Amino acid sequence: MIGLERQNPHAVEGRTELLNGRREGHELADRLLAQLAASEPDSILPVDFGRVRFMDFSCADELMTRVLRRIRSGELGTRFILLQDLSPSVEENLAAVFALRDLVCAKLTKGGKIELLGKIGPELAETYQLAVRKGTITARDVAAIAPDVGISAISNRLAKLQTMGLLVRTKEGAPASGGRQFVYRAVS
Amino acid sequence: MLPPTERELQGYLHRMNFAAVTSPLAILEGTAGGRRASGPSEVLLELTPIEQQADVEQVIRTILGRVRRILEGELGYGERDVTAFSTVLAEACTNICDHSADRGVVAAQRYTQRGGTRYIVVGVADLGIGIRQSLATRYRQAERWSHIQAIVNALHKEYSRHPDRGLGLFMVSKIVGAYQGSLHIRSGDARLYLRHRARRLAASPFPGTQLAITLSARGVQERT
Repeated sequence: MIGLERQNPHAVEGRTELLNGRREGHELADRLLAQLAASEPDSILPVDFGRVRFMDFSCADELMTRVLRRIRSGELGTRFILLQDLSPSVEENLAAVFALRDLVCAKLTKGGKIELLGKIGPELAETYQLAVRKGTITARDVAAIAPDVGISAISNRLAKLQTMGLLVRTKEGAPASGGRQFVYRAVS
Repeated sequence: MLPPTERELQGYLHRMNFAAVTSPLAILEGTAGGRRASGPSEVLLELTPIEQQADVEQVIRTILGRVRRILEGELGYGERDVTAFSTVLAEACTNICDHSADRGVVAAQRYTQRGGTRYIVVGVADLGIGIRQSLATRYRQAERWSHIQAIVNALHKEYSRHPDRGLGLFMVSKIVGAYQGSLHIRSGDARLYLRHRARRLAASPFPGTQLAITLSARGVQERT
């Protein structure tokens, strides 16, 4: 069974606390990707924005779009990120990037809760939050909270969340009723 | 350069730091820039040269410091609004550094319409290579575009399949729309005015790029 271990945070740091422009975003992405690639598989790297007072759209776009696309492509295996310590200003422009680029990422709120930042439908968000609460979920777990949704559609949801980098498939189970069953863990 | 004789205009140029910014380029005769006008200043950001990223950082720092107090106190801006305004300036100024192959200037003022509505105007300009040539350095097909086509395409979220096209100017237009503002872009032989819809205006040739951005003081709507 895959558990996702949280690594020590990666601090986003530019030349100053004000980050702007695509060039700076590219440099920040290079550093973050290097640390991600060097981290252990089956892990989550918290990305800490505590030292960032302002980040413009272009910098946020270059940084996060490159990183999240690399994660979603599978190039980095089972290595994921979690955003933390976002000021309202930074979160505003990150949200704008995610909305335009059809991206979504988990974030840790100041209250310690896991939420999603970006473009995601309500059913997918609900399924993800179920996985956060339970730790691991199967299609049957989702069916229990969405009885009107067919198992095939639920399986598609779980696969979609996996593609988005929000769930990782940990193992194949063998339910008592027979057949195959995949188990998913939340990236959180 | 001969300065204006009207005192009010002289005071305005002084408030806008005109003499200091133009001194490397021109000799200003007379006393222009030395007189202070009476009455409150509408200046948000004086004429500020933009040559490198550090200049853009200084502009952002000014917005988040001194200008923020004015935006919050006089225009009713909250945190999100200040972020939006800072983003508009950062994107417009960074374009000078990254795409103009030249230096430029930025300035911002607040105004009050007759009915009492307050709004901000931001001006950004450079004498660089212009939007068409800037796009052509990255996308060869842009060499065949007219200037107006280049401006329009620069504002589109997707005009090509290139996945990593910069969206700075597009974001500026989105923020302007959210603030019921307007965006005026001039480059080459073209001028485009956006307020609710796009209109092409007559233009004399301009080698670089000029932006005039207005934002209302009425608060935030969804940007995207």
